[in-house]
Amino acid sequence: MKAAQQNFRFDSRLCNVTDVAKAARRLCEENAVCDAHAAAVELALVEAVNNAIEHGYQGEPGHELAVEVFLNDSAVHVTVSEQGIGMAREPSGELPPPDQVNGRGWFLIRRCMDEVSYKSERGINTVYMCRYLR
Amino acid sequence: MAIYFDVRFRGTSLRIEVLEARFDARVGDALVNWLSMTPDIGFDRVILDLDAVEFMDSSGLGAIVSFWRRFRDSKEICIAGVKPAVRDLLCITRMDYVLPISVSTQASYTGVQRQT
Repeated sequence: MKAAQQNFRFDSRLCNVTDVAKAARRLCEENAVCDAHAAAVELALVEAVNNAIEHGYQGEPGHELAVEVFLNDSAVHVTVSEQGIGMAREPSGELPPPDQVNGRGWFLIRRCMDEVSYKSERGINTVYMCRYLR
Repeated sequence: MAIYFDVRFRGTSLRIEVLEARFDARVGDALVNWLSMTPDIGFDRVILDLDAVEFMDSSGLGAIVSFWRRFRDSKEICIAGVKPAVRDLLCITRMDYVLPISVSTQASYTGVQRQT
């Protein structure tokens, strides 16, 4: 497999999430990433972008999001960046009780990806995620 | 206006059929909004039909939790037509322990079949 990369910049609207997720999934499929890995990457990407829109930008449209997907023989790397309200620390990703409506996004990100990190520097908040292709 | 789900009565059952392949924040918000405006009279059983759904995220799952919380004390509930990707999500979030899930859509009209 050759290395491949695709970058996306888009407005902070939930209706844009599907297009970015489908494009990332297609990039995986075109580069022979198996369905299980591609599905996990797609779900983690959707969760990270939803969090960026809903929490980073408080659901407001008109703000920019950047997503980068890079893959090679060994892994798929995804970064999601926004310039909204950052978090004081990386969420633990614990599974909430069954009757809690929200709060499963970070759990799913950690479940889907092998490496996850969050940083907030100079006003830019970035989630980095990596799934090993083994 | 997008139509995300179809609602039909059949006997004493109410079936809510999600029409979108992606059960995400857009569809989830629409379902939660509909639940908040709908009186729970005229039916004993309520079925959430996910047969068309190929992808679900935590927002869709949150909407299912809202559906479950709304009807769990007063109605018989079934989450029907659950495809593998949705089932995987319900399993890894351990919601399969609390939600009455059926792979079939037709069986859900005659009674809840819990698949384990």
